[in-house]
Amino acid sequence: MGSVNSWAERQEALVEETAWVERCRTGDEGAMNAIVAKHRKRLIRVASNVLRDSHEAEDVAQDAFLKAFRELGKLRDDKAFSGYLYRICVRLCMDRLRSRKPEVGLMDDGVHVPCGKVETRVLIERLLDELTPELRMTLVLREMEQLSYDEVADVMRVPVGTVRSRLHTARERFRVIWLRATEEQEVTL
Amino acid sequence: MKPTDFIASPPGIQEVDQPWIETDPVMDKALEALRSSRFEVSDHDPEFVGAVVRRAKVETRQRSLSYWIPVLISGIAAFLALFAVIQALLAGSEQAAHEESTLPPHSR
Repeated sequence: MGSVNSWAERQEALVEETAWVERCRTGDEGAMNAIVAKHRKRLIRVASNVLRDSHEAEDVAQDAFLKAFRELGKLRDDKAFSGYLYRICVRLCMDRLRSRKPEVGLMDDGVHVPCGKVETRVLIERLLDELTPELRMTLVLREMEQLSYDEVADVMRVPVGTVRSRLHTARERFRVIWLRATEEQEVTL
Repeated sequence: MKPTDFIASPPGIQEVDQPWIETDPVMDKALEALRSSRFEVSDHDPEFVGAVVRRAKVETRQRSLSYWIPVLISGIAAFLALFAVIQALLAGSEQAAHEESTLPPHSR
């Protein structure tokens, strides 16, 4: 019964969002407000987890909303707005990652294995910098955003097989660099 | 061959990370650290919403202006050109009429 209710609620939310998107096409401010308020948290969170910078993530999320509103004409099915917006955000994050200069010699200047939450964040940020944008995005979407393989494939516009192989590589590399950081810390101690 | 190799995975189960087959404490710890460093975002931020809607409105206005201003300028230019042509034609016909009226009667 609960699942029927949640299905009905999802359908209701979808219908509501479709109506908002339709109103956005005419420049309705209220509808824009509703859409931004609904998707803000998810967009900023995914951008933060990928970019590891909350300010940059807010910029990207804003740009994603603006791009989505600007290119509403390209959206064939209003019901697909949510996925469309998410894809734009992921693409913008990828662009930012690609435009970043790679940090070479990460381990040379000494990586400290974390004791606290802040240190863990710093370490993770530096370890993620060692992955390519594609591997990093796949790992974050799967491990942090908890998306299914199909969802990751849909967001990144790649086949599911590619997601599997990228995730495998990303996990392996992440494991190696994590291990290296841990061992270096043990040697230092 | 492991005994589990004979068991076919039901549809959809492939997606699960099958920890019972292969466990790697280093991998588990690394991924756990990754998950624990997840960013959390506050539920409400009216400033963000307001900023996006303001920027969207400004963009819409700019797009609208960038569409209409060239149209307007082209319209004005076309009007001026047409006006100049009409003026030239009128001036030409007036001059012709004037010249005709100033000619001596025997030369008409």
